[in-house]
Amino acid sequence: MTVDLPPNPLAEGLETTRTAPPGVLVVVGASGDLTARKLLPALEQLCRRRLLPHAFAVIGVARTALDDDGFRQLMTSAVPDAAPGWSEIVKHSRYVAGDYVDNETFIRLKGTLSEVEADIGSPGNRTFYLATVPSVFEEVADGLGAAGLNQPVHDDASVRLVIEKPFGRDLDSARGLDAALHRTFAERQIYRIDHYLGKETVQNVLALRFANAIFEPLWNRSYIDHVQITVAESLGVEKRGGFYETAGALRDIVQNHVMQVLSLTLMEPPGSIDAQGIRDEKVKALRSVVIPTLDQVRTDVVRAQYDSGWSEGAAVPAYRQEPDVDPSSQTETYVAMKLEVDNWRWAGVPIYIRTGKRLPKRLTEVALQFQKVPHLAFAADESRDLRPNTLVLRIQPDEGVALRFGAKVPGQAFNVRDVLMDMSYGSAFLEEAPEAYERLLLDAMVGDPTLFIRSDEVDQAWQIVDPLLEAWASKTVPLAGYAAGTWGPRQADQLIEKDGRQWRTP
Amino acid sequence: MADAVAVDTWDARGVRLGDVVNALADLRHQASEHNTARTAVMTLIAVAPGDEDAYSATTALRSLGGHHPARILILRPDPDQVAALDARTTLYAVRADGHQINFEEVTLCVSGQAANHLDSLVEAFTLSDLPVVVWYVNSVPDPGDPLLSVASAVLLDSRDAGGRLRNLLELARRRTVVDLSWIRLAPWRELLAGLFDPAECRAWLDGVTGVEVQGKTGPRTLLGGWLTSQLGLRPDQVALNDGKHVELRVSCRHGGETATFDVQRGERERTVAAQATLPSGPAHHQSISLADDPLPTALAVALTRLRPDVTWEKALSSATNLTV
Repeated sequence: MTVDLPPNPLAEGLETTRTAPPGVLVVVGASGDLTARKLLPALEQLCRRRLLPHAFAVIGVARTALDDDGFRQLMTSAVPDAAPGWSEIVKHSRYVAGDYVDNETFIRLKGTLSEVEADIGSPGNRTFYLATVPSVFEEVADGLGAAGLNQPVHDDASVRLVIEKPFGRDLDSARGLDAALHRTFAERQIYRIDHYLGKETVQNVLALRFANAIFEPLWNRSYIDHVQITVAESLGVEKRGGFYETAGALRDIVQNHVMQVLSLTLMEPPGSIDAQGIRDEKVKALRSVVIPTLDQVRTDVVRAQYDSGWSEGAAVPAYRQEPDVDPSSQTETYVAMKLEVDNWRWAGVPIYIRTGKRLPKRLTEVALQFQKVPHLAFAADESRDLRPNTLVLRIQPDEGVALRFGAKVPGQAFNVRDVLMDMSYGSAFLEEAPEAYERLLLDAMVGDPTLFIRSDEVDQAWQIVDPLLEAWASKTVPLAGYAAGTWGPRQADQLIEKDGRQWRTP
Repeated sequence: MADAVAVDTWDARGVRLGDVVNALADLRHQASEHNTARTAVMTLIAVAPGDEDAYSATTALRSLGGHHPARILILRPDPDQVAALDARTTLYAVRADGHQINFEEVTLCVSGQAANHLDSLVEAFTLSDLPVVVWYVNSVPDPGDPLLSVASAVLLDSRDAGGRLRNLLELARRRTVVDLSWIRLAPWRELLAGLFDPAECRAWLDGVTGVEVQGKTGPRTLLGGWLTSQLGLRPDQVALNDGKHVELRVSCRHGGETATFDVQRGERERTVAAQATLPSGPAHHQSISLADDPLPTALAVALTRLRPDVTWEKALSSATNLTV
């Protein structure tokens, strides 16, 4: 059945054009921590900003024995001091309890969906958000498919499936997960969330590069000597020791967050800032990254684990002494690596990446270090403090852009030294940016996949990371140690110093 | 976000424009000594002759410091007094999330003939390469006002136009005009539009038999014009009634049945509620909160919409044909 809705003339010219269409959000795993801590507050914010439609409700699905009223209570308590419209959403929301392996759960969900849609007047747009552990993604997708919930109720309705990282544990399992999801859902229906992409400042990399004429002409091998990407965390594994033991820094940060930042940094200008334009260019950029051979992994990758030390003024234990961590664990909490890129723009420009826990500060940045001037006309003692120009894109915290360049020191002598021109987004706009989940939830319901990761992006990122995992497994790369509260092991310094370069001190 | 705090101020009576410019430069220098960021995205000029207007304008504009860092220029013209220029410049600081930014506020009390040539005064204070927004506080300018020549965009409130809606239309043809009334009425427009989002309600739009708009003269005329232009109604299908609060009702007939779509004051304080009443009974209820501080909120929104608004122009044009 096709329902052709005539245009709504009263909506013409309203500024909130990116309002979610009427529909239902089904949260699978609704009794879990992610739902209460992130999803419901993000939805309430959307409601507060009037970005949710009149006809909107949430259906929670989980194994926990709850009824409709229990779920409504959960929705209410998750957001104290909610906007007045929230109670209306809560009132229409429902709950389906059941096991994910039991098809009966999804048949009951189908019935509840029909009731809710009739209740609120929704034309059948459905967004399924899998707030579950990744191990049940496949079961849930199959269950939805078996109940026919993977198909829209009519041609103009939408059905979307939102899943969160990790997308597999390696290339094989990622491809297996994709194949399983594609059994029931088409790629265009699948929205893979890496919440990093929902961050305002990650999106700002696109604005900086493609809304300004001054940077792009310099953004290539003719001017840039090398790129450094740093994703540093000052915290240890905290209460996530059990999870971290199965992940490590490579899976937890490099395969997803780092690869996203890397692709946005390296990509060519897209024809248009839309989902296909941006995602095509991101994939092309990742395809240009040279997949490291085992020999290259041996020489260009360092993995390490933090020992005890001092962090932010407190003595902290070694990783192996953290709760739920194997005392002889070989899991890396730090990775440093050099990547090469084979394309016209970046050939010969090494990309140095480092990420770790228990580093001196929490920080994510991309630094583009420019080449030295071809001839320094100043006497050596007048310019000894001068270093090559660097453009730094700070992603978090204190988001902004900084440019380091040389300037004359006032006085009789012609001494030149570095100065930093530092622009902080926080100082330009004190306005609060929307939370990553708020942005991504709205995008998923609106049907804008720009900030979601496409299957081929995930695959390509795993292809780059997979040789490292194999090297880990074969113990080809020894596990180094570093004191908590430092910038990593000595081997990481050697990795970059052998190329005549140094890590930045952010 | 904390309130803006005055860091330093300078004021003098009977000065020359150059003295004010120098004083402003001194304040800016002081800001750089304090090592605080000075960021601006526009020059914001408020024309506020009366004391009360000037007070409400400065209070509202200061509260915008963090959202729209701008140089603020308050103009207080008084052409009937002896020629003189009194001025005050103040450096403000506002903090949020560990960031502090500074912005400057200049008040010029312009007496005598110069009050009719404000354009000749303001260029000394406008920031280069950035938009200049001129806000007429509680007034609507004559389309020939020379100050308009410096304006990238004009803020005003159509409720101040009285019977001069055609003047506003004329102005909108020459400059980008942003109407604060139109922005304040957005919740009513959004709620009413939203009532027709569900598929079962959309069809009723084909059978609108009439609309009723209640409120004070300005808002009810503007909303009446909006409904007329967007729904293609005849003026006799639009009833405008006096009332303290804005209320909208769209009456429809479809397939021999009737339905009403209402937006009115909600049960809770400072809320607006929307309700569709279909033949099957009440449905699709939604309510939203109104801003506690309507003027700064409307200003903040207006400054993000400095572009022509065709829907508003059509509403205004239709409003000129309605009987108030």
